Amino acid sequence: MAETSSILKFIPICYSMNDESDPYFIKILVPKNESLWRRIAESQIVKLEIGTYRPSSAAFKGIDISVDIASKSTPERSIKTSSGLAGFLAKVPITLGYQVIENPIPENPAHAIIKGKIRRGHARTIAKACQWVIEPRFT
Amino acid sequence: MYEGNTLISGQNEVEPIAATGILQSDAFLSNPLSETKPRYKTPCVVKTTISGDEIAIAPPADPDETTAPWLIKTTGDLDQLTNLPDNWDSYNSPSISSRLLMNAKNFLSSLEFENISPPRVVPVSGGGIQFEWQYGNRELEVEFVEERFVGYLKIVNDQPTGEGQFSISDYDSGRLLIKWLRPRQF
Repeated sequence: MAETSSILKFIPICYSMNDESDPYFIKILVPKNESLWRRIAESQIVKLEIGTYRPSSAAFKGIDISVDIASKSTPERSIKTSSGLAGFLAKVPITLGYQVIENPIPENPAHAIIKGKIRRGHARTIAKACQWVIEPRFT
Repeated sequence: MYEGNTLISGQNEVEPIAATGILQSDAFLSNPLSETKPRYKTPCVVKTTISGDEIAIAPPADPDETTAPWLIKTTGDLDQLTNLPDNWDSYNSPSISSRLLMNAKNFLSSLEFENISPPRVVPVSGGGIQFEWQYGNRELEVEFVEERFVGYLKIVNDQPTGEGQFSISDYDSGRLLIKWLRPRQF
């Protein structure tokens, strides 16, 4: 009995995927072949000479930037009120050295983060790897 | 001594007697002390000295006529960014701080006499500003995210080739970046 109770106390009743300081924090890494989506504001969309558009690297700068896991969402749910929705494979930031970590939140179970501060060149690389999931809509 | 339209020092300090007028230099010269007010062709400030002489002071030149067109456009694009509210990118990015805007404008002013086209002006997620230039196979991104530094990224044939940062007061580094971007004109 004593042995069973000592084992049971190591099984978490609940766990956290958002708070790294939580003793029951569990980090779930997004696999490379998963598609990630990021909303792009109209002001961060660059018009190319050939008449098409691409997201600026400015949309992928920051620390622990947010993305949606495509398999856990729909384009219409992810885009919200933004101009466009850009998609890229998790493989892109992972190959650059970042972890992509599931980070569900109450209002968005598909939420994930690209962990760390995105370097300027890497932001550019991620932006170039994007394809439009929802083409930009301009006001 | 005048500074623009304002008499700031000197022996003939008086209050202006008229706000605007049209300068017609020959009429003024032929009747400098005429009781009738001279007509002036161009808008000016008319002031009277202690001795009773009228002096027509041309207003400062229109700054838009002397500032490089690319700088005028880019400054206008920058001013548009002041309208961005908090959470403008739906990822809780704050509105652009006035300090960063000032840094960006000062950087542009240091390049006023460079022969370049206006850059794309893009807000950066997290609250910042980015200028993007492209000439041929070379691209340059200059970012204002931290208040004390300017960040940059060089791109050649679509591939990042170098990045770094320098102090916001180091205008020479900014001009060197432009020289790298357009090497043939130097």
